[in-house]
Amino acid sequence: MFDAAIKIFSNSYTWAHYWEGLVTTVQLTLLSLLVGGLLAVPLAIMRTSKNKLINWPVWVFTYVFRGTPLLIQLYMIYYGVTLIEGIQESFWWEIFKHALYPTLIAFSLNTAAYTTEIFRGAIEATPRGEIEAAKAYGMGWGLRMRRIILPSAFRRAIPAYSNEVIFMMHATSIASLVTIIDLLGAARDIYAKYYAPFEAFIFVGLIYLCLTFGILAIFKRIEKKMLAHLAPR
Amino acid sequence: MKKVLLALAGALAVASAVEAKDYDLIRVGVDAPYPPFEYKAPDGTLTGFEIELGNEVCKEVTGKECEWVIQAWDGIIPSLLARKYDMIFSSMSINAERMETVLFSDPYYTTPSAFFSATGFDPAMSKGKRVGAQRGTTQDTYITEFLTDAEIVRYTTADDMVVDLKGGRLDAMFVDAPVGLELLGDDTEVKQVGDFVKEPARIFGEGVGAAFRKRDTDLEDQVSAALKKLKENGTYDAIMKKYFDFDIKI
Repeated sequence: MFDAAIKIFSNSYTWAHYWEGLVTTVQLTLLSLLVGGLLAVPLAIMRTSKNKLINWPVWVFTYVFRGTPLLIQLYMIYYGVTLIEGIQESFWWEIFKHALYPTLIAFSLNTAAYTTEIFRGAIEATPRGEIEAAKAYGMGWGLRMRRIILPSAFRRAIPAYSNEVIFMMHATSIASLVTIIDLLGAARDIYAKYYAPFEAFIFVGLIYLCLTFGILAIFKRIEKKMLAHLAPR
Repeated sequence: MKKVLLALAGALAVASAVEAKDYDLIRVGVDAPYPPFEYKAPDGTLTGFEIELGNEVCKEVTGKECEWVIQAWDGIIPSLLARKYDMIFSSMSINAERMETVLFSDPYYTTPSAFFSATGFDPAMSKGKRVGAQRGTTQDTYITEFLTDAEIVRYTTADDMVVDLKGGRLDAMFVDAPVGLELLGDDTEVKQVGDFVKEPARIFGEGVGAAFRKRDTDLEDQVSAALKKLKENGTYDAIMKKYFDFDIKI
């Protein structure tokens, strides 16, 4: 067992390949969280609307994307675009030819659906008194959202959102199924090269663990700062 | 010293020439059915590519067809060593592990690999092209080494790769030729491009050979010579064309 590990990890190709995978995983995670988060804010506001016409389409979106496995969503988008008539001749194909953009779209929409529901819960949990006070000050809907509801909702959402970040980071590993060389993709390549499943996958598991610890540490700091008013005295 | 060695070598050569026996019947072990290499015809007789080729080989050596002994794969080498037959002619790939126990003839067939493309891909001009292979296969090793300026896309399964090839995401894929032909079925857009690829042996293996007990070097010599003759005189090609529409000769 140790002989195999020494053979695998004394080759600089292994390290370069895992590094490439790490960069891709971090990129995929950050980009899909960024796009998904930006989408989630307006969607969450729409989702809390009392108007059914605004509320309902968002409900359908979150229901579909939370109700189906991410792998299916990825396959639908990755293989689905190739069926669009004439897309191979359009300039879009330069983008969709590679696996990265279909994957980013799938991941972003998926995390947007989950984040929408997290934000919705946080918005609806705004104490009535705060809203009534804002109204008493004569604040309109927009100002109220911007100054009172959203800032406090985001703070309340932080603990739940940190889970979503970790889940998303782990979920990026399925990108390896559509030929992207992320961390798991790199591990599969090393496994196939050396026929050494344990070494390849244990090592990559350790990297995921480290990444998770990093995310937890960041969120701990954020919570300490943003939720200081909730800490027990 | 040198003279002594030369004398010894000469003596050995004479000795082995003297020992060369005439075989009047070769018993051959085969794991059947394994179509199209060996299988039973509707009338119960054993037939297939290796059966026909093997019979021609036996005729070259003994003047008679082989006596075929059907043996399950897991016992095929032990039964050879136990003298139940004298030769294995049953799609056995030549590899270092088996060479420790048996003696191989020259290879007599190999499964070629091939590029398939819908856009007329040229392996010699692969710069910037997206070429697919199944991860960890010999084909993967080959394009990683020889198509350094191409973008290599590795797949877990071959059918995912075919979908991407048909969908236009890949400029070409590189697979076992029979597998590629089978997967593409009667697709008319995707075609094989370029010749079959069988070399280098370091990557693709040395092919399939007949196996013998280690001490039967004499029989091995005669079978290898017979195979060489059949490959040259067209008999091999005639049998191959009956069973394959591509070239498996090595």
